[in-house]
Amino acid sequence: MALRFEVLGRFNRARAAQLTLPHFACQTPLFMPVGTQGTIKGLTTDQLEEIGCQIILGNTYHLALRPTSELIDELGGLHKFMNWPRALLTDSGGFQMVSLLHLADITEKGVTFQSPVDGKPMLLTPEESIQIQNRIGADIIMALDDVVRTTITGPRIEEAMYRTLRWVDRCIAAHKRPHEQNLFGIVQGGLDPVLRDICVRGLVDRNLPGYAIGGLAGGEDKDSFWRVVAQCTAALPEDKPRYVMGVGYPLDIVVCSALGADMYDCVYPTRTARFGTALVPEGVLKLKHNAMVNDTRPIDPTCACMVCKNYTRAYIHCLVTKDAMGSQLLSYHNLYYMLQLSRNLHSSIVEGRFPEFVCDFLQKMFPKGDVPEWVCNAMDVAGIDISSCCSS
Amino acid sequence: AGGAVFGSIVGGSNIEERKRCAQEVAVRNVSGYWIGGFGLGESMEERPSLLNAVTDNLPKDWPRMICGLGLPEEVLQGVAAGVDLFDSAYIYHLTIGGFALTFPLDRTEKNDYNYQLSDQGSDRTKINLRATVYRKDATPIVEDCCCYTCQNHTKAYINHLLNVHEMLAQILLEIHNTHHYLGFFRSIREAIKEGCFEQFQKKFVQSRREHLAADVVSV
Repeated sequence: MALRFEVLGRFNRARAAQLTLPHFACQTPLFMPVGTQGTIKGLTTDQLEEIGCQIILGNTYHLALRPTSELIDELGGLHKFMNWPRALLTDSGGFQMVSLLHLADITEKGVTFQSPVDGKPMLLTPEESIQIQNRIGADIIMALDDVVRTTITGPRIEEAMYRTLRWVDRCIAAHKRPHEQNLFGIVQGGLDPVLRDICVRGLVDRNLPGYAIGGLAGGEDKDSFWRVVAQCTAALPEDKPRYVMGVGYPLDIVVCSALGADMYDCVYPTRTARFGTALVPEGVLKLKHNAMVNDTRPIDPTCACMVCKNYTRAYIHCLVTKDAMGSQLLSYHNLYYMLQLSRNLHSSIVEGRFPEFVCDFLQKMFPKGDVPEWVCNAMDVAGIDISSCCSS
Repeated sequence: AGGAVFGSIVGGSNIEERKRCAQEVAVRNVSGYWIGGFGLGESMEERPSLLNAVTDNLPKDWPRMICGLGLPEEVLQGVAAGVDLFDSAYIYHLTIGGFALTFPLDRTEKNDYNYQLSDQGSDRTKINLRATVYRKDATPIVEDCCCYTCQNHTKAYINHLLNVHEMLAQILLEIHNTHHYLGFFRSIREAIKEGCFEQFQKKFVQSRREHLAADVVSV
């Protein structure tokens, strides 16, 4: 175990904590930008520090392909290679099984991919994934899990859940740096509460430094989504971090935090930036729209980021899709938005005003009071009264 | 209604036309001169006389801007002829090609700085970070450069970024190239102020030719 997790404040299930990792002391709830290939697209590490980024995600599958984990190791680890002084987390490569499924063949041994770079077969076993992650050197590493889409039904889900438990034992055995890197287990089981429960108990038995809730954010309906998160956060240990993988939209992060989750990652803020969409309190702002041509306001007048302080919507409208600078400015703003959301979640919980923060957030996003039913149901379970923001 | 207007001077590679155009524009009421049509195929040898045909016929009190001269040697020719402002896409093309400027800016006598083996056969102006020889090179592009890129990142990292088509590669290269190129202009200004620009130009061009000659000999 190479971390310390100290809860600093609570509101019912929600908690604000300090997560002390080898490279950085983080405050949760927190959002982790995704830097798949050893960089957040278009932003320097200086800028990431500037906006308050605490942990960045790197991807085992992609980094193993290029520049290879051996090269990264030889040059002193990913922190040194990309010159990022704060915390890093690497995914196991499991998600690629789902996202690149037409290239993958899953057996008990591991996952065989057809490399998209040169077509050669690449076998990713639990042992190999951990070895690669040991070489990369992130503060948190993820166990290789057997991921299935939540939109699938049938025995494959159960098979994947049990295999995930067997693979976590292989990951634990292969892990050579437990005092420098924290191995998180991932709860699978699809949308089936019985399977999820078995998986949670199996992982908790292994006494890992932290736990992730996997297999979600893949197209399932929102009602099923929050129920799985609620079930898992209720069953996972209080004193260890809980990471909901692949989440996501600001609204989803607020709901999951209310239900007791601590960490999130998603490509959404940076990806949507590259399509010209900015994150704002009201939801999204599409900078490509003709309405932006003459709009001399900043993206978000309430935002304190460098982009909102220096550039107008009209200017960004000109750049968007025509110049990389457009993507960079929007990525910068969108990440600032997500990290500010993280800071607000943490401080509102610590300062005892979490319900007010949630209501304010929902009011801005749903000014007509049309808060989605799944959010109302989830907040009910989280014990947060949002009746003031709901018109119905 | 506000804003300076520069007069354009054209004339291709024809000395008489260049002279005539310059003389005509010089009597117009403009705030400066934009010299166009260079960097489009005229040779290094014929350029100085074409430039002088223009600048000899312009008043000394107004700025002269030129478009199309980007290479350091070309810039030096422009400066020698009395040009003040330079506009080109040189840096842009370097960056998108994956190149980083490395020619020495130091004007002192220490000419025997360390060229890496990878520079054998290159033109000593620049390196291409895509080259596999940089895969594990944990040194900055230019050792004592104080730009953001050289202070924070290695050739190995930029090589990786180029290899995986990440836009951070262009950002880091553009920062370095701009910094380096502007440093070159600073050296020029200092040489002029110290009254030794002619030597500076001669030495710069000569040192580049020497390296090329050395490469030929070593082959």
